[in-house]
Amino acid sequence: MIVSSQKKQKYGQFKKLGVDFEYLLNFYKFPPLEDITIEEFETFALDRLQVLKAIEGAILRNKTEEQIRGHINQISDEFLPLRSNDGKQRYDLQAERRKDHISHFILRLAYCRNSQKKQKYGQFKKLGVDFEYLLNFYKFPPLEDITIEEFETFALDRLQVLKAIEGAILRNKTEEQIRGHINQISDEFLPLRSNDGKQRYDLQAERRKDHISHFILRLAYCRNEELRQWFLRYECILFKIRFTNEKKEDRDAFLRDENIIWPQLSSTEKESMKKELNLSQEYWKDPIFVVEFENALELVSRRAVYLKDGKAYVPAHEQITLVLSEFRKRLEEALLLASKAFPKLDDERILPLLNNINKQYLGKNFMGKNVVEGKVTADDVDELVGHFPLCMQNLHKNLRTSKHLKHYGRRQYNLFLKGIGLTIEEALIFWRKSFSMIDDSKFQREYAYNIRHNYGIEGRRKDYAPLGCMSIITNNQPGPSENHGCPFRHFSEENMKATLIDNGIRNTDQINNIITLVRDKHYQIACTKFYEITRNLEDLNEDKPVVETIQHPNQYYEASTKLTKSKKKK
Amino acid sequence: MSLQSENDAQTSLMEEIEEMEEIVETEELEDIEDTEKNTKEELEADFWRNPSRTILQAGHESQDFIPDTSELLRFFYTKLFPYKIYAEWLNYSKEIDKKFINREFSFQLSNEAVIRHLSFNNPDELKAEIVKQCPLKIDIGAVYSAKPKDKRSLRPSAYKPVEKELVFDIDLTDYDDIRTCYKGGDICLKCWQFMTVAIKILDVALREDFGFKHLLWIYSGRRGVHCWICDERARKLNNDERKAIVSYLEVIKGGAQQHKKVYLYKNMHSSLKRSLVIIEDYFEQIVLEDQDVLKDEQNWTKVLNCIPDEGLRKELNKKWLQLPLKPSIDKWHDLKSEISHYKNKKNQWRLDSSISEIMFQYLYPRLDDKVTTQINHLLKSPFCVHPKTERVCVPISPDNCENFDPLKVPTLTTLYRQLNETNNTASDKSGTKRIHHEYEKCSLKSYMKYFENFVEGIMKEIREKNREASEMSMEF
Repeated sequence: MIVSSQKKQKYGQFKKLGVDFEYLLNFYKFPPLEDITIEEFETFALDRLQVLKAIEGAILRNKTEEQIRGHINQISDEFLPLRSNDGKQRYDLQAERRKDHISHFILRLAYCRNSQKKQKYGQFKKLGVDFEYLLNFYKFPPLEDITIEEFETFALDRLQVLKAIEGAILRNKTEEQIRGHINQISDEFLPLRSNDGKQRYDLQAERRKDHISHFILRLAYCRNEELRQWFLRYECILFKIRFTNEKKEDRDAFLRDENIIWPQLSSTEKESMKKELNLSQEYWKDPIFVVEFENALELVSRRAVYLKDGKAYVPAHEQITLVLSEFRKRLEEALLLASKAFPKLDDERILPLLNNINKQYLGKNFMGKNVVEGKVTADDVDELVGHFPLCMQNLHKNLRTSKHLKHYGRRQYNLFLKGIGLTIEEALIFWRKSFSMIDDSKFQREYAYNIRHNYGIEGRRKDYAPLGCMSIITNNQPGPSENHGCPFRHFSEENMKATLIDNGIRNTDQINNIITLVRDKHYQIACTKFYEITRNLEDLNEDKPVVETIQHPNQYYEASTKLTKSKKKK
Repeated sequence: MSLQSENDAQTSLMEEIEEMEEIVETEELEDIEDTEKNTKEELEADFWRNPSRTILQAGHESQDFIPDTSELLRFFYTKLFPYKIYAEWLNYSKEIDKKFINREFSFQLSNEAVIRHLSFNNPDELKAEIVKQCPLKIDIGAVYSAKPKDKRSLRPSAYKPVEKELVFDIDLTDYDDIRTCYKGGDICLKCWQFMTVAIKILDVALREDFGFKHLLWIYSGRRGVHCWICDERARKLNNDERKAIVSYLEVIKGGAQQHKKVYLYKNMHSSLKRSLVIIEDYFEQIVLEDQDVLKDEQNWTKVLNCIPDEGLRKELNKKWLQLPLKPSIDKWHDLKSEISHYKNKKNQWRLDSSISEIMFQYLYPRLDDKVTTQINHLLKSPFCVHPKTERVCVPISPDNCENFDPLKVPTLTTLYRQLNETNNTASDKSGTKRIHHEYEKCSLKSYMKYFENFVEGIMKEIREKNREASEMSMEF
């Protein structure tokens, strides 16, 4: 009661004041309160819309501000005249201003629902049909209609490319090799050509497919952290490959259009920092960009850039890292945004498709249904060690000799054991027995929690999956006196050789073969080779791998136990 | 209205406490005029001073009597812990706000149970809880988007770490494979020099390369040091940014199974060049003389393993086996001259750089990177007491760190004695000088002064920034 009377008072007050519009300009503070006819309602609204549309059109046609103003004044005079106070004698200024006022409020109501988005995307849609460059920061989603078939094929074609990148990296190829390989795959599934191919290819169609497919996968991969990380990682690499492929002029033009520019070091400043910048002669002439170090993380972590007072001095040939960091930042934000919007997505045609896309392509994670729990008991572990890959054998050996493992070692080994079927009860028994130098209360206090945590019954209750090779090789590098990690990656060469000999590999060729793989950073292939040799599977005549490349310690265990079973049967 | 009454209640509380203070004070410091207490600071100082001063006086007069550790801890937390500055530091302002309220604390209690996700609405609550629980160890975590004590009732997405100081943890146990004096928890002044060099190298790198200004180095109470970098920019870093910094600073890589842990590039980064200069200053004294790393075959093999040429390794080994008692420093000269005279055109550069690589491997700081890279990682708070050594975790001035002696850091027992002594003498000739805090009477004083100055440095910068911001908005 009180509220409404207050409002009425306010508006009443306004109404009395408001019948007189003193100026042509209006901040549209108070809505009109008078009665108007339906006809008036409609014509007022449409007339104002005419003017706004005309503005939109003029802007889209890229006219100058001066031109736009002239054009709009014309249209305005026709549909929605609004004259300054000095026209008092000749025109009914109050009627004009009333129309302006009322029509504004009608459209405000009509466009309030999702006005911002509509305006923005509306604008984009008309601009966006023209992709000027092969590179794309995927700022605006596509708005056009596409068929379900297109939806699916576009998405899967892009996925082929991203998957190919993942595979190439797993096979430890060099950056150059990866680029060659991906360009090939790309040409087949998702061709995207530079502007000089204009004559021969339908560049717009290629770029449209690239654009749409990106947005579909963005939606499919936005739903949890793991999927987001996967997508982010390989999209960034794809962008990097394309950026490297593109000609310098088009690259620079693209960056200019995207308004990505960095301050540069002047030549005198450059000269004064010559010693610190530490650049080789070939790069000396190129510009040096000055950015905050947070924008050049990849260079900072490689110690490949000079830092001073929190600023990174990035030479032009490392520009790609800056672009990529920008791309990554934007995509990361966009994925989070998408993940928030995803629960609202309610479309029975595309939801199953989206769900399907990411499930179809997730590798085996050795969790849940894949594991037969209770198959293995704490006492079996010692017998089974022969089936373990070297990383786990190493952990086991160290656990037995020092009766202890450090945190990351425990985690790596415990999760692996969980993956081969040790239940939480058995795991606790296993670790309790193994830590024989430690008294019970200390064990319960300092270790049992973590073991249960790995099984998802403490803390945030996440059921952790056994670590895969990539994670073991790349995350948490072992520090002094830590034993986790991948022996092929983290052992010195002498140690590796000794370990191979300990495992019964006496043939010098075979040893050198593995050592060469290690030197070339093909750790997983080295591990696969080790498996083949120790199980006499190696095909000596051909250099082709006999078994699938090991990508997961539990995959190694599974393969090894299966092999033994099948041999027994024979 | 309600706000008003709350304020009233607060001031009346302050007055009450002040009155209590006065009662105690009039007994001891008779000639202090009460009119001095008009300013707000005065009131605050009174508030923070401990009202329970009489306990100690009434108690054990005898100097020999030392209470047990938990009693000593209680004494430390009630009398000496610098709550006021501590809260100001963690809050980065005098007005208590979210930075303090949403900060995670963790207590390790005397039964060794650890309580995580503690948080406090104001410094008084923190003080009350510390005094009540007398934790063996206090850890500081991140500032979260909500109160850590409410964590269980929040959606995971509503509870995210927002900021935390960039922290580093260096521990002598990570030097066990190279230090020859003690192993594990024991330290001596000789092996402490590893920490001195670590501080020198990291301090300059963090200041010059990353532009950080507010670095607080803290002795961890036993065998290591912590560094808290408190610049706003450092506090706002995300995990990736923290990782990149660690990777920039880290030179020693590889686990127990890898002998050679340092590989340098041909074109050495200017930051490493600067580190190498520092290392060269200390290498002879610390590594060759104090640690004597070439004294016997077992130890020199570790050094030789870093030379990438088998022939050279064998040669040097043979040479030293003939004269095993030769001082390390002479053996080191052997090694250098052998390398420079060795004819191996292909590998010459790698061999030459292996000298620097050995120096890096023995003296460059070894970081516990997990502490640094996770924003939500806990780290032991400054001014805790190490339960085993009873030493207080005091600040170390990086400019003067070569004079820091961990074995001379005040322990609970010495502090207890000192305070007892001064209190006994003070009661004889009462009130010559006004004392704001108990710690001014003991050997913690210089450390507390250092900490006060450090926090004041941060506050000054914040004030200047605020002033600039307000001037900007005025101009607008």
